[in-house]
Amino acid sequence: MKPFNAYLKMQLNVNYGISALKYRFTREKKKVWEPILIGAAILISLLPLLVLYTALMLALFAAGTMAKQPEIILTIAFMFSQIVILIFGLFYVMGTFYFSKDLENLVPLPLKPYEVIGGKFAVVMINEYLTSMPILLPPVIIFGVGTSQGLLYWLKSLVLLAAVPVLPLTVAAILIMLLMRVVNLRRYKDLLAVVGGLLALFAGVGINMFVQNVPKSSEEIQSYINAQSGFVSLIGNRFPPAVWATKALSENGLPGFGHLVLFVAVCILLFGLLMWLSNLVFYKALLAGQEVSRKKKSLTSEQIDKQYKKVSNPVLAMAGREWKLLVRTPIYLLNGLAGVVVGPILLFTMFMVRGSDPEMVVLFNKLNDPSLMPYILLGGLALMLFTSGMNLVASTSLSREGQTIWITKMIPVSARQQVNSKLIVGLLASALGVITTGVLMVVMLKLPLLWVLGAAVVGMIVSVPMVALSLLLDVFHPKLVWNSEQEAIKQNMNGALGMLLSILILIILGAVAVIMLLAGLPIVLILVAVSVIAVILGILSLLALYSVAEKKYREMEA
Amino acid sequence: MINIQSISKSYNKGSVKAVDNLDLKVNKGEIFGFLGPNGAGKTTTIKMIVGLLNPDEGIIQIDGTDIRLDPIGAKKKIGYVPDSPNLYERLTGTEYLNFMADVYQVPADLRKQRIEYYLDMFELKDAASDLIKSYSHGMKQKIALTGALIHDPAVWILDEPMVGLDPKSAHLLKTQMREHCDKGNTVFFSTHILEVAEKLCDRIGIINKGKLVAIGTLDELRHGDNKDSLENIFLELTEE
Repeated sequence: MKPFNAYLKMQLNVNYGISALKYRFTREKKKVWEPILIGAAILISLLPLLVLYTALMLALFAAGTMAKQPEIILTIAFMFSQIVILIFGLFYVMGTFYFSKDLENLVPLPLKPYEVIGGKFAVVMINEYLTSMPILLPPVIIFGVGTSQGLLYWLKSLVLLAAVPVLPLTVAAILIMLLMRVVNLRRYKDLLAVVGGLLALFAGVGINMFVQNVPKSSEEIQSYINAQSGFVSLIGNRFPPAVWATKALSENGLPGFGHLVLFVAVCILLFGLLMWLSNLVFYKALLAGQEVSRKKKSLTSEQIDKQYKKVSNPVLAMAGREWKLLVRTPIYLLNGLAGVVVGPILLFTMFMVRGSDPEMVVLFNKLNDPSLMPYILLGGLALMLFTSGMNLVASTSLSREGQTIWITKMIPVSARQQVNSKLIVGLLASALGVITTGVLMVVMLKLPLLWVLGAAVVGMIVSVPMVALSLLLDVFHPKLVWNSEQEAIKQNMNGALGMLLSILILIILGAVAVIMLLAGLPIVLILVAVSVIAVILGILSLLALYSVAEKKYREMEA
Repeated sequence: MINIQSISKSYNKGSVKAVDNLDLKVNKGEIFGFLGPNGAGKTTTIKMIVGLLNPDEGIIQIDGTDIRLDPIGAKKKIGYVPDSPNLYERLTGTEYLNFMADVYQVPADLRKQRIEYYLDMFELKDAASDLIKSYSHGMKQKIALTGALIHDPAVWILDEPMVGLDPKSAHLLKTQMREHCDKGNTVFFSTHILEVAEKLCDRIGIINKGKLVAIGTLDELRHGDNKDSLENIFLELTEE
């Protein structure tokens, strides 16, 4: 096998974990249902968005047909997919081209720089199909069926679908390569990961808001299109490739074919440029980035005096260690803590953006109606618990220890103390969510401070069983073998199960509250009842946690 | 000091026997070298001694404390460093050492004194404030050693401690091991470097395919043949 082919095969194997999967199922005899279940869960959670998107495209197609521009959905879809790929591609390319761990093994191999980049590019490109296909397939099918196109259309669309990621990805790669030549971004790797993650979060919310705010009837869309005469050429001025792709598909004969050739030719040209550039600058920037920077500040005796004087008890020391690792690892920070803070802020902003809608104005006025206070307060409490419960801190706590688990097994600290330290960190994360939501309720909704404070206290009490049960899940079945921090937290069933458990507790307590409310009982009594139930649940779950931990920490091997 | 009675451990549901009915006693004031080919069961044995793995059967006592009956008590007496320590990469060296001192409950004055001593010895004062992520393999080994010895344990258990250490650090560590044992403590370590074992160890044990095939002082292993090198003995004992 030629070196490049062998390398490409290895890249694909590693990226998709083919050998690892084989080993898992044939040698280790692990459960096959786990990855299948995770895959199914992801698909199901994405399905509503896809259905909504397809419906939107259908409406757009109907409107476009009336405006005699049915191809408008193609232009929008191609533009949208390429912009999305470009934005995510920037971070993705940076990660795989410059930050991936296998680079130090690849550089000494007898491969040319462009071959290394070529292999990495192939992996990124295949992954990008997962993004581009859901965006492009619905409109391409809708247009093809709707205008009853022939075989040639489907063949041309096949070529275009295959080629679509090339253009934005090569642009992203070239930009990154030139940027890396000038600044050493490796130093800001963690920061970039956080920025990228937040960007994805905001993009998700943005798409949601966009879909919600799109004119609902096709008449509205039609008038919108008519208002902008020649919509396709309008976009075309700013982003020609989307128009080429549209014309390649919508026009028959030579013009259609010509645009297809143009699109593909530009892709090939850009790819060639990328390969040429990688030979020129890739290794230079890569090797410059390899140098490790350290402060090299020698500790003086006084500094040692100061730094090593703070003695704390083992539980606090372990909680401190976990907190530091949580905050300093971008992927943990994003999934563990950013969600509980950014989540409620986004939620409130989405409400406030629509604040001028007539229904919303009525709603806001009702917030100040004293007779409705119990309902609002309970709703606020539920929101607090929902936002604070939707984090993975406790439910991946032991899993995150990964290969450092030997330290946990080695130190002379009991299982109960170990989980106590994890409880502290989990409760801190929940407290962040409760506090953020509480502050927003006071500041943005102008709810009375005292009421919100009361709700926050009840919220913290209810957090105890939520955190304890999430932790119990992870202690019972930790995922300690992982290759990247991403895997530890995102591809971990315990995270999803922990959220489900939190919601279950929320539903039980919510049902109790609603029943009491319907019975006309006073709000204070309801809060007390909810707290008492939460305390009982908390004690029971703590007892369960301790006994499971006692057994599991002993059985666990490192 | 270390008392191992007929321990066994198998993997993959009993199909691979890593350690097979092993008996071993390491005395006070003794440096004990544990030798064996790759995959012989050295690391498995060591991990069972320190409580990382649970033996299928058998008893392990550290200074009279059973590691299964009183794991916390036994672990307090042990300082352990694995062959390639995975540390908390996003903590600084200082934070890691403070963490270890806290969980072993080392008082402030003692921890300061010991940390300064080891940082000095291993020339880590420059690196202590940096993230462990930025350390070389040898530096990680040294910070792990410092963390493991911070509570001044009676029993040191070191898996391949010389790997990754520069000659000076290796020399200092060997001196430390000797001094530690001269005070009546115990060092148990595995190694592939036969010269180190030959020069440093009071007694040597050789393990092959999970069974202890030889144990004793170098002289005892030689069976009176003074010209026989440890290398020859090792090769003879571990041959197919």
